[in-house]
Amino acid sequence: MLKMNDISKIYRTDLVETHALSGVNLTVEEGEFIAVTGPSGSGKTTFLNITGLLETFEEGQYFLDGEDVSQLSDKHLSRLRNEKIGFIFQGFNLISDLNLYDNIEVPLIFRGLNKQTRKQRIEESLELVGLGSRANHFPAQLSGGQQQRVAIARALAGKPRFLLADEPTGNLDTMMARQVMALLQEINRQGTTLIMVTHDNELAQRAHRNIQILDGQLSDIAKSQLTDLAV
Amino acid sequence: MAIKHILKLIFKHKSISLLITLQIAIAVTIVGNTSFISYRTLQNWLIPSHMAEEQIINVYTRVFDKDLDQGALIERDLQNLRALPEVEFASYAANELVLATVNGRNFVHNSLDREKQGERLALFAQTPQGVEALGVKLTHGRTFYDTEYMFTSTGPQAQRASVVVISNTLAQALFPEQNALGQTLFLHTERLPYQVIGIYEDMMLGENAVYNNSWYHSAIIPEAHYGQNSQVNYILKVHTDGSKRTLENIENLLFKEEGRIVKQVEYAARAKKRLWDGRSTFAFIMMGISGIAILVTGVGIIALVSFSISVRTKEIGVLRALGASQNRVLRTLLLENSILAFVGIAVGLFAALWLNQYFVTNLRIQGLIVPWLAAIVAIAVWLLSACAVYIPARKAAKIAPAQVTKTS
Ligand SMILES: Nc1ncnc2c1ncn2[C@@H]1O[C@H](COP(=O)(O)OP(=O)(O)OP(=O)(O)O)[C@@H](O)[C@H]1O
Ligand SMILES: [Mg+2]
Repeated sequence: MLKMNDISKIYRTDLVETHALSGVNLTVEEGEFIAVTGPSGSGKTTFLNITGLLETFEEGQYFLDGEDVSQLSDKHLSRLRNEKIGFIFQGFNLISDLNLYDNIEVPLIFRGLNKQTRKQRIEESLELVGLGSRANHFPAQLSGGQQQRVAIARALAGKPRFLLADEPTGNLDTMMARQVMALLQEINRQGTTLIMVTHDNELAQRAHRNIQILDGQLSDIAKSQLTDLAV
Repeated sequence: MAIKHILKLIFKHKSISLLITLQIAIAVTIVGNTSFISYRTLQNWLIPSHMAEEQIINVYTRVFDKDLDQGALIERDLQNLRALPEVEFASYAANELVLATVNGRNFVHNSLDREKQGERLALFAQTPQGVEALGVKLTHGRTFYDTEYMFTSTGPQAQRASVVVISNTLAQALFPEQNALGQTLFLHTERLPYQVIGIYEDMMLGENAVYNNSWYHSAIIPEAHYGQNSQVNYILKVHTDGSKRTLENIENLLFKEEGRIVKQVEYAARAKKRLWDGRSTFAFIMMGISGIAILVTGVGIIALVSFSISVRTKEIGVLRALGASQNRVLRTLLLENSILAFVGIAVGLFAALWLNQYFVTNLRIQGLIVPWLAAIVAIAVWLLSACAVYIPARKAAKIAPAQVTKTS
């Protein structure tokens, strides 16, 4: 489904060049569940952004479903983002001026779904994260954990084939974190490819495959090595 | 994003939306009115004058010698002028020359009722040959008999005439239901009665009347008084079309008389141009005001939209991340602005209508609403606002989604 060859990303500011990613090679098969771990600032979000077509890269090639994404127009990329990819951001990124219902509806409108389908999907996904009764609330009226769940609901409502989650349990208590994890696992089981960034080694254990990023370098690691890296 | 969401965002950001709307409304009000006024003013100059502009000559002279007998002087001048080979007709003229009102405002009334407002008109007070000099074409009735002409000095013993010939449009304005011939109308502040004995084809003759939208309202009376002030003016008709020599000959002739100066000798065409220049200056000032209003609005909208977008950078980035293309962001912002512009334009047009009413009734400015011009102004302001939005909106659309989604 996804293939990266030698991807590098450099951030240039006036003073420094940060090699956020260097020489990343990765192949992901349809239906995989990959957990990405690594210390803060190592390049996890950068990797996820590039994977999710939110950011461009300097070097290398990235094929998504066989398409070379560096060749695609903004319009085409936007459509891929909207149709194939669900993104759960590290900082929820809800639109504060819209209520939960509208927040979830926006990407569905981009998709061109009709009103009926949209309503059904929104209600389903809000129900799924346990916020069915809050459709008319605004993000500011929710706790951090609840906002996190709305962000998950928004990503799921589009029924993406490819779900990217950046610390989806970072703002949740252990109980809630487990529930959300179970939810993501269930979605993965139903066929959605899942890449999740996490600091929680216990949750990382549940993935099919573990990847570690250290200073922009990406490598597969065995589950047994996970505990050593706990930050 | 659907219209529904845009509307929700507009209501969320009430104050800035209101400011943008207001800005557009004000622009429409100002530009709408100034363009109505400019248009109507310039349009007036398409109204035909129906006169021999290059054959009628206005002569302005001033007598500075107080002992000079003005009556005798005028008799002498007219005799000499008529003797010139180019001159066909010559008449003394009191306060009204062709498209040049020397002084005073004239009204005509169809009744003695002081409550009723009269009609404005160009009132030509002439000596014999006055009717011919103006080139009047009679359609009904007759012109004056020589015995009907009164030519005396001003004062209590000034003799008044009793007959008048009027233009067709004035006849209809004064006597809409009856035949104007034989009717009595009232002139001067004293409301003296004059009987209508003739009606002539419309001509644009009076400066003051033109200013007051009564361009075809005129009347000729066979009475002329002199000595009210130092001014002694004539209206001539020549058969040399627009010749400069003719003007010089007339000037030289009048120059021979001592105790007075010849101020100006000009064709009616020249007087008309002067009138036109004055009015087009007014129209151009109005256009200038429109231009400034457009500029201020454009800059204002750019500033306001830039601000309203800058507070929503994150929001826009999120939309991009969720799959909005740059084009869609651009379209959404343009649509949002169009909704505001639509409301602003609607409010502005109403305000323009109201202001226009005020101008027309209270300031006697001509500039009634021109529907198609209003439509053009509305479209132009909308385009302007769209262009103003385009600049900051494009910048917003270029925001890289990762730039905003990364920070929490
Ligand atoms: N826009 C940017 N400009 C400059 N440097 C950047 C930018 N974004 C990220 N970086 C740098 O790139 C490196 C990787 O950042 P990234 O956000 O991918 O880290 P991370 O692994 O997600 O960290 P965390 O666990 O704290 O979320 C960091 O050193 C960061 O400072
Ligand atoms: Mg991160």
